[in-house]
Amino acid sequence: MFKDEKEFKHFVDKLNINTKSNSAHREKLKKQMLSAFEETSQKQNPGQQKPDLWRTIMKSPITKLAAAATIIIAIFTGMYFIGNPFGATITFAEALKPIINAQIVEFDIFIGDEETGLKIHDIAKGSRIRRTVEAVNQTTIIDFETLKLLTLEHKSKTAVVIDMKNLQDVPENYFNRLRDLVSELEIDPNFVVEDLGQLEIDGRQAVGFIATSPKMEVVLWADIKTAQPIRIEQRGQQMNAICKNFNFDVQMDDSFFSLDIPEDYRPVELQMDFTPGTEEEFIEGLRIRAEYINDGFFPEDISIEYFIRNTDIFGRKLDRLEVSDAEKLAISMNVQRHLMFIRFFEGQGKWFYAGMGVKLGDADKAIFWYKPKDSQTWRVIFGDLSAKDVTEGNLPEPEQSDWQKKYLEASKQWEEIAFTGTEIDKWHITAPDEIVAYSNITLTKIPQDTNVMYIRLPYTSAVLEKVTLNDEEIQFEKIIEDRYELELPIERQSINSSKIECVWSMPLETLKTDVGGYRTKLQGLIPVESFEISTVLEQGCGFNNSLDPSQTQVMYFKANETFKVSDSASCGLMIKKVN
Amino acid sequence: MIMAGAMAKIVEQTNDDLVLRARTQSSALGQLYELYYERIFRFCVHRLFIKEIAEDVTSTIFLEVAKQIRDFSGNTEKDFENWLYAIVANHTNAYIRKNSRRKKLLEEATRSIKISSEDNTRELDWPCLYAAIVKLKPKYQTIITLRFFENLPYTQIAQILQMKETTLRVTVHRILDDLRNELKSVFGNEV
Repeated sequence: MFKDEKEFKHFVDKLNINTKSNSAHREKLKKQMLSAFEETSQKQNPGQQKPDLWRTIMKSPITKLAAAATIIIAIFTGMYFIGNPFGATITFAEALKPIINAQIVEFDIFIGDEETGLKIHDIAKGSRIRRTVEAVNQTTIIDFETLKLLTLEHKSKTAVVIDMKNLQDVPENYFNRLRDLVSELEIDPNFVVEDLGQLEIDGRQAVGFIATSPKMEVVLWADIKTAQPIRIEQRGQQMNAICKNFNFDVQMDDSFFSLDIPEDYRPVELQMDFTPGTEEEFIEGLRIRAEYINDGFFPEDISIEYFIRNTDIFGRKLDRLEVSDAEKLAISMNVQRHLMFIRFFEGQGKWFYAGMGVKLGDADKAIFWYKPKDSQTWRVIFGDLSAKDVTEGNLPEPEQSDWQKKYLEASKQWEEIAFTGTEIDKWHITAPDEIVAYSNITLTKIPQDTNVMYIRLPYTSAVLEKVTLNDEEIQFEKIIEDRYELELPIERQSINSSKIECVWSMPLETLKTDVGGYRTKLQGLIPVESFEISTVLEQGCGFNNSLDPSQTQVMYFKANETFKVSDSASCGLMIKKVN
Repeated sequence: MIMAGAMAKIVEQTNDDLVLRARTQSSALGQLYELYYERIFRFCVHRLFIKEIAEDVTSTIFLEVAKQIRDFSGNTEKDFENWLYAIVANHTNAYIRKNSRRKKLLEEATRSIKISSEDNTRELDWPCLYAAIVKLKPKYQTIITLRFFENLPYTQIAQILQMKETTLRVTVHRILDDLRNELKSVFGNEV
């Protein structure tokens, strides 16, 4: 066996590989290639450079642009967040007056939940909003008067300028939009508002209201003394969001809302189509999400919230695609159009999605159906991405696929805490900025009658690579995203003796970062009684221990608490990049 | 020696000029094609094993070059070479990822390795090595091909794949470990 590179090279050189080409192919291809070149030159004036704009886009980090586009989608979701739902009673509307009457309002929006959701910080003043998304290191200034949008991507010092002229139903500003909607909704009989009573929130006595409409539910908590809103929760088909940490009329310099591009930022213009997406564009997005993002399966969820929460995964998967930057940008833009179909859904009532776990190409499974505007029939999209008109009586039942059943079974186990154990994780930081984790689990509680154990990796981008039970490899199967089922023969299950090692990997960039560096969730692969995590810095990985550079293995966390999947604890990994 | 150096420089300059002219002149593009066809076809054979498939992918690559050469922003032959190899890596990986003929490709390689295993006297050969290489991640397959079959220096591979050279070196070390282990599992330590 070859010992090193030199021997391997020597071995390769000795191989007798027939690489002789076919001269006929060579000649034929040359003609085809030159003909293709000529065709291109006819479409484009020879010698004329394409606009510098395009080149600039191509040279910029494509995933940053994709992220910027995603945040732009979020902008409109967030804007309507305050707008849509307010109810018929003046009491409910009273709680919104501080926002309506404010000159400047500042608050945080959490897309999803507060612990794991994307945090957006908004400051609204007149027609402008300054929106900061720390997770992607971007600040966006939106001006509803000029319909300009400027996103500053701080890491690459890129300034993305977007013209929003084709955006429909544009509010002139945050406050007027809200004021108009409150007026409209006060006379709308479809909105029902109920009193939730009083509660202490963040040390303040608050009164709550819940407003429901056919498409949305909004919970508002307001300070009982000042009537200022403390917390607003929105739950809708597209997303859940929480709005909190309000500040009113804080002093903000106008430069905070400036659309001028800072001198040290490279300007890039990006064209985006803000009109509602078509069915065709929606279907193309489904294909992309299944083929490129989700390993051949349709996503768990197609809501805007789900997409925003998984923006990092989208960015990483896009990054890893071995296609040109132009193709990456095209893919990203196609996904934005797909989201526009959902965001500005123009059909009647709700849409239905049942694609979770369905394989791309499965013509028998209906994955999405909706009733188009002014239509008597429904449109049903299948797993092979064909679409048919279907009468109401023939609509698919939202049946559970095998994957969904397994997924639900896996969730049930988490609730029941069937298998329990202790877990020691060693996360090896490897050279290509990747984490290879070795999770060693010792079972401490075993159910009686199953040879299937479900595990859940801490991040959806993590991939399970190998599993051993007492050093012998065992079979496993991916259910969906971060969930897997392991085949654990009953005769080999034994309390305190069954030792399972799961090897899984994920890109280091998966982890969130803050001022202290990378942070990880503290989550066992199964419900655990104790949990320990340490990192091992492999030689040449480009990181060292930020506290003691001489140490390559550091334990960060050890606890004897029971961790469930819902726990949101996190800890920092004291590692930093070597310059 | 001085003469040889000067000649080399002239040749290099000529090819740089060829690259610049190939953006707008089909004759220059045709010359570049002649210079690179064999190398690219060879790369494809090493990556895709079956010559018929290698021809198909080579065609796709050069047609892509024809479409994109006007937008190529480099100035030297080295820039072109890196750009071309990046296209080649993308297309071969995309082929392996997407095309159903990959199954045929793997079956063929597997058949060869079975024959090799049954014959105790037979040494590790190309089909056996390919069967092991094809189990690597596509990016790793590209690295192996560029480094050991195309003999490119680390610096250039790092530029093509947009990696740090230090990372690349460690990655190569790991890939060889993986290959060694894979081959050991089939042949034992005797290979």
